[in-house]
Amino acid sequence: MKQVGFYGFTALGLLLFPFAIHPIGGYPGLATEILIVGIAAIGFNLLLGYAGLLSYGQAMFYGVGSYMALLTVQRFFPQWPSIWLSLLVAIVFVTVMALVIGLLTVRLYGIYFALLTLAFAQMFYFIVFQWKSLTRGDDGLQVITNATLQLGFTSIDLTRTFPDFELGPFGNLHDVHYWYAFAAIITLVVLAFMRALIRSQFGEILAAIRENEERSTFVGFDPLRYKVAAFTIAGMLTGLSGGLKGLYEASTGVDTLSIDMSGSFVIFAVVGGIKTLFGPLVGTGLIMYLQNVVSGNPVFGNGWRLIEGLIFVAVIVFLPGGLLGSFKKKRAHAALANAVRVSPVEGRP
Amino acid sequence: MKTTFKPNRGQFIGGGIAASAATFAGINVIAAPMKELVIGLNVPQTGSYSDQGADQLRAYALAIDEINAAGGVMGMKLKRSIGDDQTKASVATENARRMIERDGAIMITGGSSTGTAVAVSKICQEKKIIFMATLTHGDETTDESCHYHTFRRYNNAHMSARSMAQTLLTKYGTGRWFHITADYTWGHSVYDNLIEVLEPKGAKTIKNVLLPLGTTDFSSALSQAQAAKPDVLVITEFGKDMVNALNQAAQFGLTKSAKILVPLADEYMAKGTGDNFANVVTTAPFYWKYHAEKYPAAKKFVQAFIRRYGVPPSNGAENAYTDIYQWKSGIERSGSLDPAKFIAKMEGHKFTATKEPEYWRAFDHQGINSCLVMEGVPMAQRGAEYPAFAFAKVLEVHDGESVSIPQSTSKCKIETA
Amino acid sequence: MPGQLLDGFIRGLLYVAIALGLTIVFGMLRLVNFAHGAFYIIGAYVGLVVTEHVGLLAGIIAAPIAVALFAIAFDFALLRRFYDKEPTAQILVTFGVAIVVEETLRLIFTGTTRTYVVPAWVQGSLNLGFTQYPTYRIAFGLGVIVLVIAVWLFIQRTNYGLIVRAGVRDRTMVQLLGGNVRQASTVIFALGAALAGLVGAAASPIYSIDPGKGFEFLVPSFVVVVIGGLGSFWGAVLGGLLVGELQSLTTLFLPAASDLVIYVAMALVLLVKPSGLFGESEVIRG
Repeated sequence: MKQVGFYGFTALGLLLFPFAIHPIGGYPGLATEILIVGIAAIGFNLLLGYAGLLSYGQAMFYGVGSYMALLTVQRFFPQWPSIWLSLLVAIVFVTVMALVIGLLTVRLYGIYFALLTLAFAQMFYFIVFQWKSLTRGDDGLQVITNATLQLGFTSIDLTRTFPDFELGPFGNLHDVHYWYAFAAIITLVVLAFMRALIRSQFGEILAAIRENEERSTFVGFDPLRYKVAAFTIAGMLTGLSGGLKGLYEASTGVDTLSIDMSGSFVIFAVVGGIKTLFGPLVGTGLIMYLQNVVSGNPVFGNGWRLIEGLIFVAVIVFLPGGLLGSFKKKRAHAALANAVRVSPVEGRP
Repeated sequence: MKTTFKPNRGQFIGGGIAASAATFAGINVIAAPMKELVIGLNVPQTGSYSDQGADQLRAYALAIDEINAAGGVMGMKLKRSIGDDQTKASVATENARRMIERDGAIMITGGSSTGTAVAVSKICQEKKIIFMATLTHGDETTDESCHYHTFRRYNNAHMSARSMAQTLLTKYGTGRWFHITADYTWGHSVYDNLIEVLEPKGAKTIKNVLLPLGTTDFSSALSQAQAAKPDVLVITEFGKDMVNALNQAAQFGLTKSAKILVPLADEYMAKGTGDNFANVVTTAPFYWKYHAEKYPAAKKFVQAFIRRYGVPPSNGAENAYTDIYQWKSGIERSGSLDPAKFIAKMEGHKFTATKEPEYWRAFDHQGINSCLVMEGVPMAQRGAEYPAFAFAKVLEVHDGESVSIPQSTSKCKIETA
Repeated sequence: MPGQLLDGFIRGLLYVAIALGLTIVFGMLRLVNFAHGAFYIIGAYVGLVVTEHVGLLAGIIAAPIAVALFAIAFDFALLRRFYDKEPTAQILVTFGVAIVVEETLRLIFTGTTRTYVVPAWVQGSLNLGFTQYPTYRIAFGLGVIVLVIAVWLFIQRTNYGLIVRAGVRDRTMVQLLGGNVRQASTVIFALGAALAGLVGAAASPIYSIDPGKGFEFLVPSFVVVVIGGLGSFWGAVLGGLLVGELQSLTTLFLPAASDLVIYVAMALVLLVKPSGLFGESEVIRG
């Protein structure tokens, strides 16, 4: 029953989302972008919220994912233009990359882990920036849009729109592209996967490691293995997100690998609520709304980043469970305040 | 993308704007019943180039208000849709998408870097929306990455480098040159263009130090330059990197011991360097003080700008202002909102705006107009009128035709639609 | 080549100066401060305004005072709640404050890169025999050396350092013995901030000012502190000089890698000896 409730609720939410944001200046294209980028935030939350690891270099997986997806179309396999193939290449590459970097980094804690991931992200940033023959440096990559999604029996052009149907203050069905439906289905799958993961033994052990690593070691779990797994899964989802974003825009640039972008993932997850399934998606939505819609305001648009900073600080101080975490009374105190537990002496768990 | 003019109907304020005109997929309708035309202004409002972005926004507001006060474009009022591109290609693309999909923008304009311009140009090409690129100086915007729907009036790296090299050779001879160059496409393109003109004439290149974008400390490169005792030091950096590099070069005494060249500068960069800009040679497509004295249209623009904002316009602002008027003229001459008809009327179009007579080149959509070679003036000699902005005097004006990329070597393969 | 070594040394001293406050605050309060760059940039703008109206010396004096006051207010209003939390929460809240500071400064001063003119006696450059080097940079370098010694003496000669360090380990015990941990913590935090503010004002004639500069310097100063050993005083000094030389020499031989090299160095240190070249191994899990 609970399963049905979850799928029903999520599917309904995704169905209404592009129209619900219409009265406040949102638009279906933004809804698509929020879902795509939100997948990375959901993945990042597995690290920060459930494994208690603050990665400050998540943009490397996002950026490399987008480059790999576009390079697949443009360079590697131009003879087989396929969204599936591009995503596959992006995911496989980024997953291997995340596995290797995870093996090197998860031994460290707190600030050391954050800075080591940042160092790796900076290396990838400079490599992508400098490897001009492959990445075209600061000009970024632009490819001819290929939005044909092969489904075996048929294929769909994702840039097509739904039929004309007026919805009053909620816009028009015709404004929604098939891209949204594709992103929504993937988001649903990712959410279901994440939900299952958190509720599985893996999720429980991860939580146990976060709460008390030494105890979990005594009980016989190797915390490193679980953390590497969490890091790799987070990287994989971030790579998927980057690949989708690259294909959706049919272009990408080095800013996708920047420190700013890594910081954005942190903000998305924390604002929405770490340790909640939907929090990162909500946080991504709110901040991207600020960045896309509020920034266009002729009067205070240039202050949107200040608003973002104020929201971020306010959430950390007053709603440590994030916007969503605070709805759930029971978990409100648990979330950040707990994930980030009181640490005696050297912050040793 | 098959749909061309498909403004999102629910978005039109007051609901009375005849969006029905736009539902004909792929067919461009003469927009007689429309009351508003939305144009997207995609400029940086945060980040390193926020000054340049803010100044362009001022110029856009001025042009749009003037046009609306005079009856709009073909009877339709202009409406702004603003976006902060943060000088990031991916954000610029998202903004452009929002402007087109949500607001039904029929033209996008703006720019902060060649990276963002190339990305926006590409999405505008797909969506068949006109893109009037402003502050992008890299060649590729109208060279290898050129697009049918994109027009760029701003000078490019090729034009600046050719103009500057010619002036320098005639005024200062050859000598020994030291280069500090920003290590990305724009920097390389300026450097290559300079070398191509200078070396055959006998100029000797001592060294070229390529530094990453966003370098804050140039001392290492500058002490190498100082040890090499060059006649000319070329600092191919832009924005705050240029400000830092030049200010630090002054600390090393290089502004006194060598001739300094900065291939492209604007009023806000000059402002950041103050007196260190004295005697520095640079180029710009427009300089408010010079053009306001010579051309009535420029005078009118500069005065209106100062009256409204209390400061003179930067060259990026002038570009933004003229681009709006050029677009208006193209729309009116074609009598239609059909981009293809607009483009047909723009290609090869000759006009005189705020400067010497100019035209839009048909094969790559580069605006062919003059390039100024200027020399910085010490603060003490700038007079009382906006000294921070009155940063230079004009040495030579190069005809755009003589310095632009010839068709024979252009890498531009423009689409036919 | 000797010119490059001197240049790396002076550049290193800037990193030392910025990293000093960061490492003291971490070493004593166990607080990871991502707002350290914000202190730098506030100091720079205070320095700019005061220098333009009064003079450079006044600016260099006013900046650390103003920043210390800001830091005390920040400490009382927000940071207190995070002293006992995990580093992750500290990183987040200080990162948030850094964004707020940067964007507020951008709205007040716009994004224009600013600089200020130094008095005539430190303008120009000195002939050192093997190279010409800007006088102001040399004066700045000497100032940093004096500063390092002064801070070291302050920590050694006063009780603040002792109380705070002991307080982090066992607050109740220190309070029973009559030490005011809270007050001492505030003093140390304000000191760390004042150092960043001072450097912001003093370094701005060299590096110019824009609202993003704080974050730009924050990242390398973390690199410095990590290489030297987070929390280690002399580690920050040696780490700073090492990074300065590394960057300066890379610019000579392989300029394209001059940014990359410091991250490679940091990653290597973290992988091989996370406590840094001079750090105590016990802090790794902080």
